[in-house]
Amino acid sequence: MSIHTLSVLVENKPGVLARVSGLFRRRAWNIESLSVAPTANPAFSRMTIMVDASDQPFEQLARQLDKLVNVLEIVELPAPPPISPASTEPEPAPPAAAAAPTDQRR
Amino acid sequence: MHLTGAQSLVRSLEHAGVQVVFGLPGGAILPAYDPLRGSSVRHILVRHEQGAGHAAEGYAWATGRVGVCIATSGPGATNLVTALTDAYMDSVPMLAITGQVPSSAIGSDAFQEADITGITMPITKHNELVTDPARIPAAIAEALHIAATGRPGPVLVDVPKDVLQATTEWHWPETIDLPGYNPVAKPDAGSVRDAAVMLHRAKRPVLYVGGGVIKAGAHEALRHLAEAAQAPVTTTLMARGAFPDDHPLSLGMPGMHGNYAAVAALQEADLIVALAARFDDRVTGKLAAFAPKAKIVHADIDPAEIGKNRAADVAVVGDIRLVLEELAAAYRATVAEEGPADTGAWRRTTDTWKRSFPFRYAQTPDGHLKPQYVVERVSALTGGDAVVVAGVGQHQMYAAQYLRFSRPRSWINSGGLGTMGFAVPAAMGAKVGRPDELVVAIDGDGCFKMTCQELATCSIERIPIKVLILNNGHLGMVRQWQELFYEERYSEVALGVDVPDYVALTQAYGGVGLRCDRPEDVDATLEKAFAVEGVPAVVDFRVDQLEGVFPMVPAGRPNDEIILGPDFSAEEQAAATRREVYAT
Repeated sequence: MSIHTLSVLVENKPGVLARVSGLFRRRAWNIESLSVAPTANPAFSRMTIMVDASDQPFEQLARQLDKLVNVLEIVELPAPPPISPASTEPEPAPPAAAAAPTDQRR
Repeated sequence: MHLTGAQSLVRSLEHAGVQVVFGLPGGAILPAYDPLRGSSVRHILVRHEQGAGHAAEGYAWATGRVGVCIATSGPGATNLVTALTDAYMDSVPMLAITGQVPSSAIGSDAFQEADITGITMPITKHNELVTDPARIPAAIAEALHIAATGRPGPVLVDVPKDVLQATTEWHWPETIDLPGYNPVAKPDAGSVRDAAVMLHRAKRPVLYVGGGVIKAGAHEALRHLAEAAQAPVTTTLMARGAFPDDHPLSLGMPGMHGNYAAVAALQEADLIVALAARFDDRVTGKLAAFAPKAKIVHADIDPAEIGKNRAADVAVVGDIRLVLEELAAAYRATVAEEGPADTGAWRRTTDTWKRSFPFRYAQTPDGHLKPQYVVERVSALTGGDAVVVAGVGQHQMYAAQYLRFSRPRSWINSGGLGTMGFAVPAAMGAKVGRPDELVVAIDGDGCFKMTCQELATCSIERIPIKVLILNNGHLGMVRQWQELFYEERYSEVALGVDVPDYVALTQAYGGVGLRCDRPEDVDATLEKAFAVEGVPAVVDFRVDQLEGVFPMVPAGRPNDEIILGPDFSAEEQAAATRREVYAT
């Protein structure tokens, strides 16, 4: 697996989540996790998407995503620390700033 | 000033300079059809919404302007889906306006409700459900802007009936507010310089030209670069006409049914300069075996095309006309510094291939009429002075092979999606866009039957297209594949040559129908068809049912395995497979 984490700034409009997730499905990329919330400016939302880019180059994915008219900015976040498969304990929540360094929410 | 949403919609189209829309009314879009009466926008009433979509495409291909179509909700909108997908695959600028059930009924499975923005999300460049009547002018302005700029494509605007009926005000936006939409036009100078140096150093360069060169009006810039670099040029199915076929540097068409010289040149090239082309599977054959010796310069306005199918050594993102102009300047600067490049031996090689392995077929005076002969006569009689539209299949390949193209926007077809039934409505749209030109649809009998209802539109609206049916009574390309790859086990490919009677059918639609089954009658029949005024003319050419399209690279196979076909000897095939290259 080649997991990449994307922080994607989008217009906060109906259907944008469907456009983004639909693009991943159509181009046969697998979303591992996804979260969306409005930014401090309610005209925009930020999506944090973890995606498996083992089969296709990650740059392709970012470029296709950038073609969506409602997508403003794509930033790749550093990989999160690995989770031990043996551990059944829930991971401690990382500090908010570390989890999303480019997030505008405060 | 107060007006209805419907009036706002029509006024927006007028203000944007839209001259023609192709459409068919129904319940949800009804309000918009009231202000269309007396509007400066000409509405052409089609007989099926798919026809409206393809007509808008043909109009856009022929003129370079955005083609506009309009349909009602539900089935009206879903009938546009094939045309929208076609436009998306071939980057055709198009605006589709659809009616939607009233806002209060959305989501209730109301009569003629379809989630058309949901359905068309993956097949449009963008779409929008307009919920606020005040947004109608901005929605239209943005849609036209998105459709026409960057890499062109279809945009759909869905308007609920109550939004069309509401009272609103009309304000045309002074600027387009799309923060996430910024296509790059100006290429990076460093990348252009790198590309020029690579082109100058290449011993066996090929310019691989895609449809974007025509869309960007870059054909002259292309010729300047090709002549400066003395580099052979191949034009894809989408780019026929971007470079004159009779130019000494022309290799013709690449790909599955392309010219041997073009296919071989790409396989032997040490540099491919891809210009607004996308390394489609019909060009590359088995991708891993495509052009194994070549470095790649890839120039395109769409960054997502770079590296999608084939990795690029140099990527240039930008408007292809600017790219070509700057590349030619950088090339000349490189020549000034390092002296002229010599592609002489490579040119001798490609010229030998062109001479040895041209397109070939045999028309005997008393034998079956060959479809290639009909196309050759069309080319000869028009002298290239026509806009030719094709459907999809064998007739499309014969047309692409045997028409001698000399100028851009003289060839219209369904390239990426391969939509049977494209030709008749697309020719109708092209003729509306370029009324002073001879517009000829070269169609198959299978294709023709899918959309021939638009002959009624052509008769009543006085759109005198010419439709030449290469009638082999079969789904010919499928028949050819069953012959070659299923040991002649023909399954469900015979349509029959006599049903319908195409002459009588055309007459029933108010046009002039003709029939021809002998080579010696082809010229006279074509001249008769071309002389018909005011109404459509259809010719039923009864052609050889067993003729195949060659050369051929079987699907998924390496381009090295090109088959010249039955009109070449075993020795010639062996020589083609050996593929001799003069030392460079």
